[in-house]
Amino acid sequence: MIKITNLEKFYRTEEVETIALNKLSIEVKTGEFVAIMGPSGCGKSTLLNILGMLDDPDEGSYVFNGIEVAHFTERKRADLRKHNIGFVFQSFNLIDELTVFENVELPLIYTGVPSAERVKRVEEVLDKMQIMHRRNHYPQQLSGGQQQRVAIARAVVNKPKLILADEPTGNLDSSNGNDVMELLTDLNEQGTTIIMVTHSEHDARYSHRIIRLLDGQSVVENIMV
Amino acid sequence: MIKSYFKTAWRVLLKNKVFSAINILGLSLGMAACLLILQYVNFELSYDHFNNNASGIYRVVNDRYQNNKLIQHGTITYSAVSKAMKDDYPEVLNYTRVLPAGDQIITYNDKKIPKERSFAVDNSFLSMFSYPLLAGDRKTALKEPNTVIISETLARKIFDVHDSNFDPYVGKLIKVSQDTFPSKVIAVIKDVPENSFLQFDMLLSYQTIIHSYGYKQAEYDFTDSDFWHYIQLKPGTDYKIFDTKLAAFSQRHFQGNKISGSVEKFYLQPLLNAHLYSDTEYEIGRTGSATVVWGLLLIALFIIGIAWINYINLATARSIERAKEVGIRKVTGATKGQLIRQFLTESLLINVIALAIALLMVYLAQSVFNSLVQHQLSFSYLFKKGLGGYVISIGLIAVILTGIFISGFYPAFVLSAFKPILVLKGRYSSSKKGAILRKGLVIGQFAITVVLITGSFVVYKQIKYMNGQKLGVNIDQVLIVNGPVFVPRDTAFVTRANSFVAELDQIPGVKNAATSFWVPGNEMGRNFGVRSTDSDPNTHFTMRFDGVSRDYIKTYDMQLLAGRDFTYTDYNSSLDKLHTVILNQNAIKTLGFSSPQAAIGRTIGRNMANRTKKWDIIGVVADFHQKSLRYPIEPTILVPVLNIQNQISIKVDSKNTAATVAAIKIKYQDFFPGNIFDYSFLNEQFNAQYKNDELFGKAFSIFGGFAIFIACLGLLGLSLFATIQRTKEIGVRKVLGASISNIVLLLSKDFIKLVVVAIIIATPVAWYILHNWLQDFAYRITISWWIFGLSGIVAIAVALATISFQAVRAASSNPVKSLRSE
Repeated sequence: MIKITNLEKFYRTEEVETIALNKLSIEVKTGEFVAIMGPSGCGKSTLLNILGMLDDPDEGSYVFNGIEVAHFTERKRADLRKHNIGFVFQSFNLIDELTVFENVELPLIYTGVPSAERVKRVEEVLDKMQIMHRRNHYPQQLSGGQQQRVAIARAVVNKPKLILADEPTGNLDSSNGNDVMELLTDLNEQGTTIIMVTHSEHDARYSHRIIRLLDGQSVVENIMV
Repeated sequence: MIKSYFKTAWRVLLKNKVFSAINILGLSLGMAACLLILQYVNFELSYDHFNNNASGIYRVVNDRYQNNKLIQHGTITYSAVSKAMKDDYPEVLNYTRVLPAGDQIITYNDKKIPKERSFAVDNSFLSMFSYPLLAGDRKTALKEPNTVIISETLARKIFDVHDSNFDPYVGKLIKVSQDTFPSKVIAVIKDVPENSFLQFDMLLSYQTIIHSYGYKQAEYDFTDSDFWHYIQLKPGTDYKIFDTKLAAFSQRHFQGNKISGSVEKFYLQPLLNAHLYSDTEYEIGRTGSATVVWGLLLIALFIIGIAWINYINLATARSIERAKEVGIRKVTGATKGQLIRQFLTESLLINVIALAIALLMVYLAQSVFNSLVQHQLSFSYLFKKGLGGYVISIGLIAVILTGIFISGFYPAFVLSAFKPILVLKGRYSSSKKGAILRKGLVIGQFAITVVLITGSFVVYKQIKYMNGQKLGVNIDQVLIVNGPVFVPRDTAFVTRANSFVAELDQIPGVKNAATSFWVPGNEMGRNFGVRSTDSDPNTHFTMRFDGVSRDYIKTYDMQLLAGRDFTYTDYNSSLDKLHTVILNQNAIKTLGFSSPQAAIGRTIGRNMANRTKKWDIIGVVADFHQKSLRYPIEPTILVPVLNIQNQISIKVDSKNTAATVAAIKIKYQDFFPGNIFDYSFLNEQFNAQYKNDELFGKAFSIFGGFAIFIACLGLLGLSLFATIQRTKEIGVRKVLGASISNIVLLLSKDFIKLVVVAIIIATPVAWYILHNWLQDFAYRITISWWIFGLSGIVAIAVALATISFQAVRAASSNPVKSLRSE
């Protein structure tokens, strides 16, 4: 599904140039659950952003589902993204002004799904995340675990082929964290490819494979059994 | 999708109550001010547009030059002019002569109706202008002498009409003032609309003037210049090109200065310019000021502009708060276009709410505003056809839409351009460019504000100066009584007039009384051929003149510089026997006398009715202001003529004025039975000349106040935001020992710098605008530097008060709280 080759990304300020990704090559197959680990500043998040087409690489190739997207325009990337990729963040990133239902509905609005169909699909996914009873609440009224479930619901409501999770349990206690990991595992078992950045060895064990990054390069790959 | 935009917009509005309130309050005040001003502007611009032929009708302007100097600029001219133009030029489709016939008293049976404004006009007046008839025939009306057209209201007053059928009253006979013959009501006209340049209750047949009054010069004549003309050009004629042909017209009929003694220049003034762009003397209609109108329009746009700037500033300043939301939306699939539309929806929603509140404000403030501008205005005037058709109304809609779009689009553009990853990772910092723009806009707002404050000060000072200036005539406690209309002009007239004035003097409380052709504030007549008999007989000067009674100079406390005042012996019922004059200082200077004393006993020649008569200078008075201080003092001749029919000036004691007035009334009715006693105070009448200036001054200060308030709302929002942003910094500083004043200074410094820059920019702009405005006044204040200093101090003080409101609160809060909340 994903094949990146010799990917490079620099961050420049007036004084210094930082290499975030240094000729990185990775492949992820459809249906895989991959964890990316590494110390702070190793390039994990940069990689995730490029994979999620939120950012473009400076050099190298990124093939998504057989399409070279490295030099796509913002508009084309956005289009590809909204139909194929769901995001889950450490800090949930729900919109405070919208209810649970509306937050989850958002991606469907942006992909132009008709209203009746939206209601059906949002209810379906809220049910699945066991958050249906909170549908009319605002994010601030929910616990962290519930918020993350809403975020996951939002990430999957469009039935993406790929879910990118950036430390999805980072802000949760272990019990809620485990719930989230179970949810992700379920999704993966139903066929969704998942790439997750994490600091937690515990969480990483839910994945099939761990890619360890250091200074923008892949150093080790652990296959989980 | 649209529903989702509105839902989000509504919730954002509710969530940020303070910012929403600041925006909505600012915008609604701005819009309300804008709408009120636009009503007035549109009303002023709508003058005479109700005429179907409006764009084809012109007034004939006649400028006169003597010794290459403009000596008269007016629409007042010779009776033959319009007919001659029609005869000479095929472009002229139609013409009408217009002669103001003053305020008439109508008598019908035993009923007398006072003060009906009238004009004598040709029948063509009715076809050129669109004053609808309610009864009578437009084609034939006013063709015969002794016929009149009366207004609906006047008809109701005369005949007690209670329905709307006026046909029965056509053909009725009424008496106009002291006519010896009856006049036939030939038609009834709908009341003249408020936005008509010419205001009248009655139209007399022009033929009456010629045939019944025997005023032969009114027919076709190039000697008497007391007539006004309107001409209608064929459609498609360019009046400016037509104007170029009129030099030949002047040459043909006046042969340089041979015929009239001055060079006559003619040109056309479009009817639609008459109300606002007319600076002519001897005006017969209602004039306004284009400067005031366009100035107000500019102020309206400034005010609403300031409110929109608030929106832009607050929206972009708060962009950090919104950044996370933008990031999420982008990640969940929003395109830039969708985000822009969403933010535009927010701006639209705020503007629509503000507009609704503004409409309510206008509705509530309408009567106060109407009394300020002294017109009955309403919402309907927003869509009145005005100068250039509906340009202003369409412009208004365009401006509002553009304002909404720009104020919404810029923040939308800024917000939607965020890189989602930076934002979501908290690595976002507000852009420098945005901050610079915000600073620029705040400077702009305050620069406008400072210009308006300075303007209020200067306009106020100028009006105060004009009101406080010594006029050379004392107009306080002077009662003006309208002279009797019904009085025979026989040989006993002078005696009767004299004894009336003398008896007035006997009334306790009356200090002095006098009669004159014109009282201060009125435009005097002119003599065009005045010269000193000792000098070159070919050099003539133009001077003002007034015919005054014996006590005129005393009544008005005028200062006699040399010679003597008029006495009984100067007066005579035979005009030929009059031979003494009193001149003002300016006339003495104009004629070349070395001093007032030197002029006493010398003679002047006055060209009257084509013959020169010698007049002895018996006295010289100090210069006095006959008109407002907008106009310079002109050389003036006072002639000993009694004319009780014009206005009578009575200087009364300030005590027991009511009793004095009552006594005067009795005396008046004794002497002039059958006349209507009617009086006013001269200072009010005189100061009415400053109506436009006072309106301008009030508008400046009121709407300047609005501008300041709205700009401060914006400043409040920005400082509130800056304070929130710096909560942690404030906490740390306090922990380290900063005092409240340190913190307030810290928070205020940046804003005050902007205000100072605004003052620096605004000062020359304000100076330039006000300096030009003052040029319209012959007597004016000089703009001293302290006015700018004061305006600057006001701006800084107001800004500082606004910011400190927030800053003091932030500075006094417990630092532990702000640090913990991080």
